[in-house]
Amino acid sequence: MRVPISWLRDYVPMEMSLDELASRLSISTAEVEGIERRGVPDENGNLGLFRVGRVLEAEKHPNADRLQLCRVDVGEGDPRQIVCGAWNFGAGATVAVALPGAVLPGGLQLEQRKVRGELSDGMILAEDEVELGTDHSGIMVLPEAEPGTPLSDVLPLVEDVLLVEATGNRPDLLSVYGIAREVAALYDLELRPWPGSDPGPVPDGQVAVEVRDFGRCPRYIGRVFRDVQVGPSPVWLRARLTNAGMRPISNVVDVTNYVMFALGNPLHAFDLATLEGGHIVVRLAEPGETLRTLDGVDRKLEHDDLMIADAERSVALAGIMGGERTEIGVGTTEVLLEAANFEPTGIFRTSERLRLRTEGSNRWEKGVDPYLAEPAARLATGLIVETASATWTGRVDVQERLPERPVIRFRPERADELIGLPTPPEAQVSWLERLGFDSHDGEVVAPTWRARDVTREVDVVEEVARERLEAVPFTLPARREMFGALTPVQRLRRRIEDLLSGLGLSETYTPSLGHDDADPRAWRLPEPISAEFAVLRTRLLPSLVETAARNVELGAGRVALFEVARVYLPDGDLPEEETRVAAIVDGGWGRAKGIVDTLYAALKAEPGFERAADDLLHPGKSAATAAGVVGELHPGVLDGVWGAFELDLARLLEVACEEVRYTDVVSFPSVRQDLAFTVAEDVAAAELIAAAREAAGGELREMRPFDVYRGEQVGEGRKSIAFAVSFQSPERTLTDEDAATLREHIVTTLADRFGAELRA
Amino acid sequence: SGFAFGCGIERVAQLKYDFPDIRPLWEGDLRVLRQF
Repeated sequence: MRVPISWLRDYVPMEMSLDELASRLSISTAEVEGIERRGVPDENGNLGLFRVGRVLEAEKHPNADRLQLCRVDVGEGDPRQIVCGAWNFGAGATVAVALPGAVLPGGLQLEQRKVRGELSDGMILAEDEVELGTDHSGIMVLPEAEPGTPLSDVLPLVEDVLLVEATGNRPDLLSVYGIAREVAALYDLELRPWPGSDPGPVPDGQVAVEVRDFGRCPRYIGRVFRDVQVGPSPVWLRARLTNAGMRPISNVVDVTNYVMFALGNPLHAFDLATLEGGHIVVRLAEPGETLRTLDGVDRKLEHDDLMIADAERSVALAGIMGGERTEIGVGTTEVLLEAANFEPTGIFRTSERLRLRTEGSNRWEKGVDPYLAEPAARLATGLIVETASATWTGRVDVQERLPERPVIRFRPERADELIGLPTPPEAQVSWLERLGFDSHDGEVVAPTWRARDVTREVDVVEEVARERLEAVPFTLPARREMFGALTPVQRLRRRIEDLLSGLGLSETYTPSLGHDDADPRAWRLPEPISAEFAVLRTRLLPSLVETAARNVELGAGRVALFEVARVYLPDGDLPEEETRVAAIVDGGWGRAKGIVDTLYAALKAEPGFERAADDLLHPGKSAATAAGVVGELHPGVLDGVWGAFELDLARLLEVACEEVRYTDVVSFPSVRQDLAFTVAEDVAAAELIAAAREAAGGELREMRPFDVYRGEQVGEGRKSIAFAVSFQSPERTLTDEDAATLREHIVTTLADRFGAELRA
Repeated sequence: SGFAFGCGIERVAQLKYDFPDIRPLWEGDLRVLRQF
């Protein structure tokens, strides 16, 4: 919600700084996302160079058919000569002038210059040149004012706009007046009464309005105007709408938008001449009915949609969008203004089904105060009469019994108890009254604009709390008994995180949803918010690769990232969720394997690497353990030499050794020797070790590969792996014969199974 | 019955470490990560 400060000041006198206001509102009312400065730069006296001017003479430029040569009084005694390309004004007009030296929004600085031989000593401004609107077809014509008046007195040349993000329970904050009410309460300032008043006595013309479903439409105020002249709105109105983020269109329509922004009640205006029978029926759509909304789209309606209709057919989607046939146009001379109230969930359903959200529907679906329709109708009436020179000829207010204000029992002690900070009862009551609550004898009565939101005592306590929020001290929750411990998986996870972080990797989180996944059966969202977040991932590495790439682009030196998170595997009705640890590091295969080795060592387990293939990994440099894959990234995936791994936490837990049982390794000496075996290229060291352990049993204490040789001596397609071997028994000292026997077992087994030859 | 928390851990971190926008936490930018 964009709240122009000058508009806010119309309703409440504000002296505080904007930063202070923004932070106070953010704590107690609604988050202020920022403050936007719009319009003309306000430094070095720039604003003084913008003045009101009166055109004394305006003639065609002698050397240019498309230009006017004007003499303009800007309050300096002598008028200035200004060349202007617009034709929507003549002598006598009051205009906006910028003098040489003035800086426009965007940084352009004006200079005196000759235009086709004539000096132009200033510029007559169009509204888009000072960010007050989008029109560039002509210059701004102002209401009469004294020449030389600072332009900023007459127009919001410089505007600060608060960007307020109200929560769904505070639809009353979707209006400038609603925000003003909060500011007045927070700072104990006087809120101006409802803006606008009925112009003149109430006419007695009747307006035919029939409401067939009061549940969906509790109230409908209709007002009729004749002799309407549709045209551009005055500059001040266009400027306010533009600063609030709406596009000005024409006076009557602009008034409806203006009042919606000012007070919070969306309005609509119909060309009365296009309404069959000249009357309104508020009803549900007939099955099969259609309507072309004013965006030109044909809508198929359903029996649940609330419609505004005339005697023949539906003419508008109630609360959401008007119809094309009955919209206000340049030829409109009779207007029916709708200031109504619609039930929230019905509007929401229709809006969702048609995927049509408007500023109006956004307010209705959160709930608008039904008592707001009257002040809204009044403000709109005055503005329509003024801006369209219209005559107000009739009105009607159709309603069923409007809801009563909630009466709520309230005990100030209860507020103290829940907030944890004592507040004197008089202070609580005084604050609540500033917010519009009435209070007496242990009860408060909520104001109509909070009736849906504040219905229980605890809601009233929340009102007191939010004003006191900053004063509430930090405390820890009271603990009576605490027991519990981390689960094995949680402990394992923490060990792994500490280890990887200790090795120099940074932990990161990447989104669980991506734009695609390599697995065609991966879970896809049926209605993703964005194509970027449409598929649940089945692996962690792809998003880590993206993150690494981003870091390289940003100029990061060494990149080492890991993530511990879930993946979602296709499986039946619900995804199978597995927690994985994955990493991407520069340094390629060597570094990745080193990290995984260290990881397994910390868990006191053997990785048991085997050859493996993976789409993301370099075919010659990839391996797998029981828990996952490790290797060098395929060069096509990311420029550079990268190592990567992705392991499943549950499987790591299976091999992690939590309980340490001491193994006696010191009582009796070990026998150590080196053994080298020649095998085929595709045999892995881990396989040889596993087989050797089977063959030799527990007395094979250690078998660790430390060298690999390939070359003439072993022949093509073969390699020789050298192992450091040690034999040891916990019960006695092994003799050379014992060692020899064990060695024989190993050599035989390896020869049988792998065709391995012992090298001398 | 049980508990429901609307307070994400990112918001708590935001208050404790005083940074304005939680989105960079999800982008994996090392210049951010290395500060913690």
